[in-house]
Amino acid sequence: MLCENCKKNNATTHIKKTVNGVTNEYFLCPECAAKLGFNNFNFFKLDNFWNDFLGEPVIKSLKRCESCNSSFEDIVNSGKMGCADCYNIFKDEILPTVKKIHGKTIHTGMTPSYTIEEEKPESKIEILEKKLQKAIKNEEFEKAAEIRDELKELRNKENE
Amino acid sequence: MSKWYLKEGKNSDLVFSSRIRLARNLKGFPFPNKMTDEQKYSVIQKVSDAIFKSELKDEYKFIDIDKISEIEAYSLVERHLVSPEFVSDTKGRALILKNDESLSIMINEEDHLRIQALYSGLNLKKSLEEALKIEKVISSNNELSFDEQFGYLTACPTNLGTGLRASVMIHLPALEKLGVLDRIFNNISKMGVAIRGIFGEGSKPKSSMYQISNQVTLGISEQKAIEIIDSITNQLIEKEKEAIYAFERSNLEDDVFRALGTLKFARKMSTEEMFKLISDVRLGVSVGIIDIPIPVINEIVLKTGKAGICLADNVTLDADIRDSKRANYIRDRLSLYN
Ligand SMILES: [Zn+2]
Ligand SMILES: [Zn+2]
Repeated sequence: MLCENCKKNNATTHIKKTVNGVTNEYFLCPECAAKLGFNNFNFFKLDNFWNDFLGEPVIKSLKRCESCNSSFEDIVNSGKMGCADCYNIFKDEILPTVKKIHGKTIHTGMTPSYTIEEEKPESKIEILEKKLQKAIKNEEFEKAAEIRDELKELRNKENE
Repeated sequence: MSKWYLKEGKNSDLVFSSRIRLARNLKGFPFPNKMTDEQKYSVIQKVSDAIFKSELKDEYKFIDIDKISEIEAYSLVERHLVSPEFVSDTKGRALILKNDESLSIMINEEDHLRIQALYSGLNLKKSLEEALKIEKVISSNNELSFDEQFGYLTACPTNLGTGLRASVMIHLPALEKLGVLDRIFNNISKMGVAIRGIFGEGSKPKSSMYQISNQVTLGISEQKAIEIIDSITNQLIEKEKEAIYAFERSNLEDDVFRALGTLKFARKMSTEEMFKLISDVRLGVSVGIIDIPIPVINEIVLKTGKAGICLADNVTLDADIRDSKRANYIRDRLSLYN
């Protein structure tokens, strides 16, 4: 789909705006979105999951982050998490969005204790396998399932 | 210490710069959008302490972005050292800048730390090394926010994971003229890579300069992310070099020398005109029509923006005066070359 504004670039940003009960939708390229002042809506990508939340007062949660006092609504409105702990507290809410943005939900890059200058990095599969073992040990089965899916996908790719 | 853009790197006729940006946050503070001014100053203090008490201290300077003039602030944007967002609201923010301007640390932009390393030509690996080197200095005294699953935690989920954005600025005049860029870009964007025009306005910039950068930061390693950008850049370089053969040499020569003539003799020059003419001259250097050092061309682009040209006077000059000053500066810089 082409951007509604410049009609040249691909529309990758979907903006839904409700004013006085009237909902308008825009499909824009990132450049036009920024130009038109929608740059805070970084993660309202096409078919965005959070958009559905905006129109659903039923789900409106009273839960707040104990560290920074953000509600999930605050996060959606500002497009930003309030603090590191928000990722923990609103993990279930944010996970589908993370998946939409990155296609993945598990980090496979450097960690504070291991950096790139040191030895040859482990393969992505090795990293994920370790994480899978750890998740199972900690009885984090939901997370383990996610890791298992990613591993499967990765192995399929390698066998292609 | 000579500035980064005065060094010639690999393929620097086509590749203006290789940039790595790392987003990091300090443990124990909310993200900048939820911080009090006091907390912001405290983060600035912690980060400066880490750097200015390390052995790298003489290589860096501290810039209180809240105390410098608007002209100075925007000239930093034009030299690609800070984001426009960073200088739009300067309270509680600070910049730590390496003397050769190859490394900058924006403190309290969207994240506590935005570490940015710039390298001339195509060399993302080197840029990444430099960014990680200073990250290590900072994190030796400050624990960073990191999560087993999500990696480095950032204010916006789009940067989660590695927090790494690798971008290359590349000159693609021949492919642009042939009208094939849209098709190429469409294919590239399917690989999770974004492309946009830079220097000048619109999606087809007068500068014929494009920025290629990775979009995905979670579930991909640092090496893999830069490998993808590196490989796409190398393919673009190859395609651009082939594309140039589609043009009649005598016509190219005519374009290049007309551009050089105007740059060398004009008395008034707007930025948009400068971008166009510099692009033609850069092409002339790429294909061996003229011999002007690429660093001279880079310096003109980085120093004659709207703010840069006012820097010597440190006041906002009228457009007409700016255009005269710009033409004078360029004439002077190019007077040595024929
Ligand atoms: Zn557009
Ligand atoms: Zn929080």
